[in-house]
Amino acid sequence: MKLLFWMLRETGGGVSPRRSARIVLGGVIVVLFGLSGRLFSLQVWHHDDYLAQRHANSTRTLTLPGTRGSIFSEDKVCLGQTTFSGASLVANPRAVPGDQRAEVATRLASLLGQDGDYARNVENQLYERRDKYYYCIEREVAIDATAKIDAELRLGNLPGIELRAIETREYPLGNFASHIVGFVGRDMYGQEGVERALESYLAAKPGKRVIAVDALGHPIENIDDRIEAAQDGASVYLTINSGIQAIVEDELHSLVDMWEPETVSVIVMETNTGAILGLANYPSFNPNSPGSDAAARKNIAITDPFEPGSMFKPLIVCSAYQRGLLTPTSLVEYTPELSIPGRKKQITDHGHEIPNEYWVQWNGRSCVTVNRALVSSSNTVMTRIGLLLGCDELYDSITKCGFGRRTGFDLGGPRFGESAGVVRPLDKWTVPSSIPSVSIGYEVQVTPMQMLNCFNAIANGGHVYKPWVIGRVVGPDGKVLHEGKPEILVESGLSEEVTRKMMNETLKGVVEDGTATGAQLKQYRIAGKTGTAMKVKNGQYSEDKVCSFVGYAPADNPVISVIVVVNEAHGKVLNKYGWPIRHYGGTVAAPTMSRIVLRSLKQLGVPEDMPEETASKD
Amino acid sequence: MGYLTVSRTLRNAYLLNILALVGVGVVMVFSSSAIRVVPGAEIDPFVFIKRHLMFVGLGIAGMAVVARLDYRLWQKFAKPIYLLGLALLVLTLIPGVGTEFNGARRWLRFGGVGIQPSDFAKLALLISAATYAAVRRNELGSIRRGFLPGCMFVGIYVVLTMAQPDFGTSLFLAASSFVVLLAGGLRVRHLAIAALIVLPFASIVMYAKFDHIQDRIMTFLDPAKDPRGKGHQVKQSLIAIGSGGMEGQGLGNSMQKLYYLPEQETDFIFAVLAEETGFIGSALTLVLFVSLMIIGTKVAARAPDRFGSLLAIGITAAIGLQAAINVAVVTASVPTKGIGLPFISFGGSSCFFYLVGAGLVLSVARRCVSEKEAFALLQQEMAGERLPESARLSARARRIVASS
Repeated sequence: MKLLFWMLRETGGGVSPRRSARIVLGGVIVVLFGLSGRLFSLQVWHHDDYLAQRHANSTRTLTLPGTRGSIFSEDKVCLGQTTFSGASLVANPRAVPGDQRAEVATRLASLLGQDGDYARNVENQLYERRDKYYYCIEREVAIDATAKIDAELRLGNLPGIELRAIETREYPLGNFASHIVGFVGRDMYGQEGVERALESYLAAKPGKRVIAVDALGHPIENIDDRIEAAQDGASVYLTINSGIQAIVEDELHSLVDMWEPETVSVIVMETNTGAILGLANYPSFNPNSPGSDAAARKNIAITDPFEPGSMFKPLIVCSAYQRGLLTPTSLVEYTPELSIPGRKKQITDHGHEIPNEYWVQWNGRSCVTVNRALVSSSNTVMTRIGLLLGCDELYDSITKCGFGRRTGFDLGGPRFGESAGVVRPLDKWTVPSSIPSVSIGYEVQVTPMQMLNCFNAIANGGHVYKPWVIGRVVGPDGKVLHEGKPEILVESGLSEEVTRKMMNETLKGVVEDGTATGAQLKQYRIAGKTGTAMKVKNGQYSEDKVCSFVGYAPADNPVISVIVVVNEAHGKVLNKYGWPIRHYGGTVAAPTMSRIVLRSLKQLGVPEDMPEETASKD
Repeated sequence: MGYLTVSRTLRNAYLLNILALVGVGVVMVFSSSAIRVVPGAEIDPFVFIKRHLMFVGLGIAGMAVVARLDYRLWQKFAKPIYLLGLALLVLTLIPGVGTEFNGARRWLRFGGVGIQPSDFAKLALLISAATYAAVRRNELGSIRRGFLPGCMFVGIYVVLTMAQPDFGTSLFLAASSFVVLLAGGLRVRHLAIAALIVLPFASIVMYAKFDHIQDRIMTFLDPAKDPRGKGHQVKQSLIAIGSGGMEGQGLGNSMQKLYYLPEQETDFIFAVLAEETGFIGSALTLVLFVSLMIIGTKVAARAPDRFGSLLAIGITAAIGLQAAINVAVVTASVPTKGIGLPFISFGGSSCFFYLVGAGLVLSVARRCVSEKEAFALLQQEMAGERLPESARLSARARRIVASS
């Protein structure tokens, strides 16, 4: 006001219209002062608010990728690793000046060896995405083109274009142990196997870099450049022994070539710990290009249950031994056929009756020892033993050996589709039928892993371990983040005496002069049991069979337990007399199992346990 | 230089004030435009500042020449000047002669240099209005002989500018020339009545006809509605100003000029200035404009004749109005309007003609006599000394001397 007064005072003439002009001028001055008040409000009172807006406006958070951890076998063979190789071609369409789009597109097309249509397409894409910060032109660029583009980039001829290294997950050994290792998706996220189970360990923790950028997305150096370094993923060491795994895969291939089966599962387990030394399935897949065949990617060793047939019998017998009902030399009445009242189908030993020479006449009845019955895999005797035990005892011993529940395998569990198998609850058992069926390995379904786990308990004196394959997880700084160790899943309740003495002798007999003579080795004594189970198709038992063999070696001091499950072998193999070999566990699975045992024990350096006998036989 | 004894302080103060503003302009145009270097594109970072310096140089030369000339020369040539402005405005509207840019014909191109005739028109209209008001000083109070003809010759310019279309400049032309006419004796009552009749009608036509005016008003009412579009500029401008704080981010450190804020070296240069120099810098710039207006008003008050006084008032009002409107736009206090900040914004012809206008004020200031000086002159004359030419010319000085 004082100013206005001063100005008015200066008006010499005192003419009223002049005063009005001066009021206008004074008004403008007042407005300018008012605006400085507005400036004060914006710049001083609301400064923090606008500073935050400016910050949000002009900073971008870049992700700094770390490297995903590698996967190694127990003996440090790399099974999966991340490499940065090749380059993809990306654009920041905002940073491509509008008048240079056509030029950039044409130049790129010629560098990539493409034609004019390609150039026009790129130009259109750049135009359509002109408000965007990212557009991937080529996911992968050939190496020679990469070099040429790089040269042009250095010359500054390609504004807004960038080459970025491609992160690749590489599985150097291809199909090798693929069902264990698993694979990652395009987003580097584990999809199966160890890659999936240990995602949180393997995944790198990406770093952050906050940079200031101009409105076109160009980074501005030296302003607001904060870096939070990326953390690489941890490395995983499996319990898989690459030598044994190679042997397993090799033998599996030979078996597939010979017998042309639908599926095969082979597992090698360390007897005293439950650690998995090798695991392979057929069909398998190459994790470098997993494809879409879900059946091939499935780890059928844990997902697909089957009726075990005769492989189940040692468990029944162990149970009877444990309860003191029988000893290996106890005599049981033997008839090649057995009719159960109320059961339609007879139990028979058709095709593998126990030869007369083993029969013992007692009280006018033909009897055999329990030992011989198991060695010859007699169905009728097993049914009698099952009836002797009763359903409560049977059910108890089955569940105590880990059947009907998941194995606790560290690559298992519901999210990996692990099956618990099928053990019917007692109240669903039917009176005339269930005990005979269960006694000979039907009406129950088990996975290869469960079966091996149960046999491993017989081999190690009664401990049912959780199978495990993750040995160690080592952080990028060398710190051990996780150490695998044997864990008991359940105590079978079988004693050392029963398993290591009574049953061991019997199972050795199976290989020596029983159903699995094809598994005999000169160097090592194997203990095991064959299984030949008919498959149910369309509600009836069909001609297709599951041929299997499970065992451990060396029999008297077991180191490894091995299972081979061959599902629906179709191959016709002739014996030396020109007759086709029939498909049994002893003929199809046992030879493969024994070769795996031989080579694996050699690989592990286990001393031969019957050198003199070999010498005398030769 | 014999007659520089008179009103030297006022003149020097005005000149210094102008040069200070021009200096701020040069620094800010450089700071806000040098960044326009797109990697890969061959653009000289100095291209804007070079052109700005060229126009500033031409403008200062023009100012020096005009300041030395007798301003009453322009009163004699008022008619040709008015007609020249008219001709240029008409030329701009002819397709093929006027250059269209952003949907409006505002430019005339001579070789590589673009000129906005409306910048010349501003000055031409001010000279004409001052002449008109000085010549018809006794008739301005009447509607028929003073008001209506005045409206007529201002109106022709206004309509031609509006046809470009340049709504902002036409409004500005009307405002600054009516200040001159009011100062010359036009009755406020007449103007108010005319405004009451014309404005509602005109504003409805404007609002309906020009989409961009609608957009700008809607944007002003709710800037958040379309932050990436029309509201973008205002929002970015506020962010620039607000993030300046008290002391600013430092010269050259504006973030918003990095393509976030459109027109950062022309209409929105004040936002960059506020961001880089903070409240201290932006308020000081406003103070420079206020002091320029005060000195200009003093020049007008001391002018030796009516034409000079009205000319000084007109130019002072034009500078002050344009600065106020620009700062109001940039601070989102009024709807967006494309109008530069005098002396500071990059913009060839605008800068040039404002400097020439400042030369006119300086030329008036040369012949100013204050009461104290008039008294001194009287004593000198009584002592028989030869008075400077400017003092002898000064009617006001005579009047003061006579009245004492």
